[in-house]
Parts: sequence; C-alpha cells; structure tokens
Amino acid sequence: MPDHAQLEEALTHQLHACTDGLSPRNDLAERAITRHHRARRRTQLAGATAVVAAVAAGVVATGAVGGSQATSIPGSGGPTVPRTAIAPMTHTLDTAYIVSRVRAHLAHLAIAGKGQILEKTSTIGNGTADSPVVHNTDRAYIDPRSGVAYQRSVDSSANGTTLSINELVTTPDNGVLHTRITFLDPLQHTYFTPRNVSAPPGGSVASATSSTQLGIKSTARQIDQALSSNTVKQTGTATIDGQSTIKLSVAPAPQLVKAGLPRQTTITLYVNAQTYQPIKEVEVVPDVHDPSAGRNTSTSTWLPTTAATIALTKLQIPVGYKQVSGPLSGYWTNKKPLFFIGY
Amino acid sequence: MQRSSRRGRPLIGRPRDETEFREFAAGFTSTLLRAAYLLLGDRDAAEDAAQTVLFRTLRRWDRARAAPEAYSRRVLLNVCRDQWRDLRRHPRSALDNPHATLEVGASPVESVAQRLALQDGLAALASQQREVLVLRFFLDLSVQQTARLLDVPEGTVKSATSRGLAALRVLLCEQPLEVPDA
Repeated sequence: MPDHAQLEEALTHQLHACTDGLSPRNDLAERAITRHHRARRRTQLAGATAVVAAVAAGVVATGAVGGSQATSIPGSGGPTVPRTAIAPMTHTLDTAYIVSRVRAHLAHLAIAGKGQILEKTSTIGNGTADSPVVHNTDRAYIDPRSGVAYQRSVDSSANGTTLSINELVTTPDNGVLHTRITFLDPLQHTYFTPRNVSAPPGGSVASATSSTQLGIKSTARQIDQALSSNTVKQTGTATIDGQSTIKLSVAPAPQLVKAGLPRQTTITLYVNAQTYQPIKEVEVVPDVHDPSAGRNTSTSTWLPTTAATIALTKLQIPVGYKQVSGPLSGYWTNKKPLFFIGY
Repeated sequence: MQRSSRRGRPLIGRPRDETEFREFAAGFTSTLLRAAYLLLGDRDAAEDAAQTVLFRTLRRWDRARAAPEAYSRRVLLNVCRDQWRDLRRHPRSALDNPHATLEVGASPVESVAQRLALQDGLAALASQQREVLVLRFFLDLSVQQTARLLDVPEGTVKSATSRGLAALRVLLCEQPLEVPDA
C-alpha cells in the first residue's frame, strides 16, 4: 500500500497520463470568437429593440397623461411601461460545431454500427389501383458481441392490414456473410425459408425482400455525405420521445443528386441537443417526373437499445403457420426483388 | 483605460484583444479540456465546457487579460459544476455517447483499466474532493492557490486533499495506481 506522498505522486502522474490522448479541436478559439461576435450582435439588436419599445411606451404614456380615455386602464396604477425586449443569452452553438459532433457520431455508426437499432419507415405508392399505398417499416440491429445482423421488415396497407413480414439474419464467418431469410405471409398463414445465401463483406445479398433498402452503416454514411456538403442550417428545436433535439435542415449530397436524387429532396435531421447523437432523419423525395404521384417520405430513427426494441428486429414464427417449400403467392408475387445492405 | 459601453460591458473585438486571446487559447485550451475531462469524466461534455470557458473568458477579456489562466480556471470550475449537475440528472450511457471515453488504442490493457478505474474513482468522490485533487495534482496549484480559487480556507483544501486521497486509495484498491519510476 503506497504512502501518502507516493499516492500524490502516482495521482499526478496518472492524471496527466490518462489525458495524454486528449487534444482540443484546433478551431475552438476561433469558434469562441465567432460566438462572441454573434452574441454581441444579438445584444446590440436587443438593445435597439428596447429603445424602440421604450420610445413607443413613452408615446403611449404621454398620450395617457394627455387625457386620452381610450388608453387609460382603470386600476392599472398608471401607464405600464413594457418590459424590455432583451433576449435571454442562450447557449447557442455554431452549426458547424454541431455538425462536427453529429458527424463524429455518424462516423461511429458507419464504422461500427453495432449496438444500434435503426428503424426506417417509408410510404410508397400514390393510392391508385396500379400503385396502392404501402407502408414499410424496417428495423435492424447488429449484435455488438457476435456481429450478427438482424433485420425485420413489415409491409402494411393503407388500412393497416399487415401484408408481409420478412426477416434477414446475417452472420459473418471468416470473411463471408451468411444470410438466412424468412418470409412470412400473414394472409395465408404460411412461411418460406429459401436456401441460405452468402456474400463477401461489403457485397450485397440479393433477395426478394424489403421494399426499402436499410443499412445501419450505409444510412449513416449517406447522412454524413449530406452533412459534409456544407449546406446545413439550424431550423429550430423539437422534442422527440421526451428528448430535446436540434433540428437541422440538410441539402441532399451532390453525389446523390448526380446519381439521380431530385435536387428538391428535403432532409431534416434531428439530433440530441446534449449529445448531438442523431435521433431521427426525415427525407422527403418529390417525384419530379410525375408531380401527381406525390412525395416519397422515409424516416430513419435510431431507437434506444432495449430488450423490447431488439425483439422488434427479430421474427418469431407464429404458432399454426405452415412452412411451404416454394415462393409465397398473393402479395409476394407483386414484389420486386430488391437488395439488402445490412452492413 | 478600458474601453466599455454605457452599461459597463466591455467592448471586445479589437484586433489586439483577439490576438491576445488567441495566444492565450493556443497555450491553455488543452489544459482546460483535460481538466474538464477529469472533472466531468466525459469527453463530449469536456469539449462543451472548454468551448464555453473560452467564450466566457473572451466575453470578459477586459477582466481576464491580466491573468487569463486564473480567470479561465475559475470559469471552468463554474461551468463544470453546472455540467456535473446536469450529467448527474441526465447521465449519458455509453450507447448515448460512444465517444464518452478517451480512445487510446495503443495503450496496454492494464493502463486502460487503470485509467478507467481512475475516472470511476474521481467520479465517485465528493465534488469538492474531486475539484481539489484535479486543481492540486493536475493543474499543479498550491494549497493557497486552490483555496483562493475555491473560496474556501486552506484547512478545507488540506482536509479535502487528505480525504480525497484516502477515498481514492479505497476505491482503487483493486486497481492500484502505478507509481512512476523515479
């Protein structure tokens, strides 16, 4: 057991050693200066507003003293001088600073992605007979210990009837991803499990599954691309599931616009006001070729990891469902093959 | 004579002020960030605190310029106290905050375990003990300087140091601090 002096020496050594790897961002001082200039401008503006308000109050008060009955309030104890309009000093941070913190979280999601649950909801179809409205909800989770990725996808109709459910379980094994797919037909009470498919990491596993592409890492990368385009604005705050969030309006990434995403697409990102962790992203994609088709809206939400939310990413075959050996009929026959990019 | 507005607020923004502030920030931001990290145990919170300290120091540069390090240390304590209260009310889980701990990839497992044990140990101390230990053994302030900064008698600093070290000794008994070679 070290004596007092040794402990002091050890503590001094360790306090320095354990913060050795911590270095500040280079631009903290510049950000403080920018923030100070903004705060000063706000104060000056508030002061000017107060002067205008005081002058206006003086005019009203003068009118009242001058005998105008219309402006006299009985029992008010005389003219009321309005409170000055000085804005409270808020803890406003630079958008660039917020973006840098959000991107740090996204980088973590894009590289690791583990331990996170991403929920993506989207609505497709314009409600016509050829293109009925279908709501899709995908939830994905990568187990941080095993690296196994789970994804469950549910399609439902406009009236809330569940049309299809499928599950993909992707297991990494010596550089190869093995994917097990299960299709569930709640209308026919049947399920179908085709032979397992494999793909190298980074590759796509083709399957007739979901109507949306969900990727925990790729979603983070796409949002990060948009944020890097430097066209981000703070557009307010919002409370989502009890969390205070900052609302960011983001222009679509030029790379994606080049690839065909309409320039008019709007992306709104909600990030936790304290940790800057992305909470929710809403993309509204107009159909520029057919405005009558309306807009395709998709929402990505990072859910808290709990036993209940993890369960949402997995599929339990209900009792009484019958396994069939071939592709499912009915709703499934109209679904186009799409791709799963879970990793 | 200091330049000031009618309401006594300093009119900062002169190039010389900003140059002086930049020089101070270039030399002391790292220390502020590291001290904030030790006081808060959270990297993101420490960055927030460091940025707020710089902003508030600049806002009162007319007062701070004579001894900006001492001024910013006092602001740091106030900011960290606010944030500490906030973190206790709304603790951030590792999932909420994946960058909460320092990433020192090259460190051996033992030193990482030791570092985490030290962070946990500091977090478990009473706030005054934690502040005293960080001020004295990280910022290398004397008992007298620490007492002045915390606005407490020197005896209080000495007793908080002693109790803090004793508490750390108990908390770290399973992961003893490595005594550096002489």
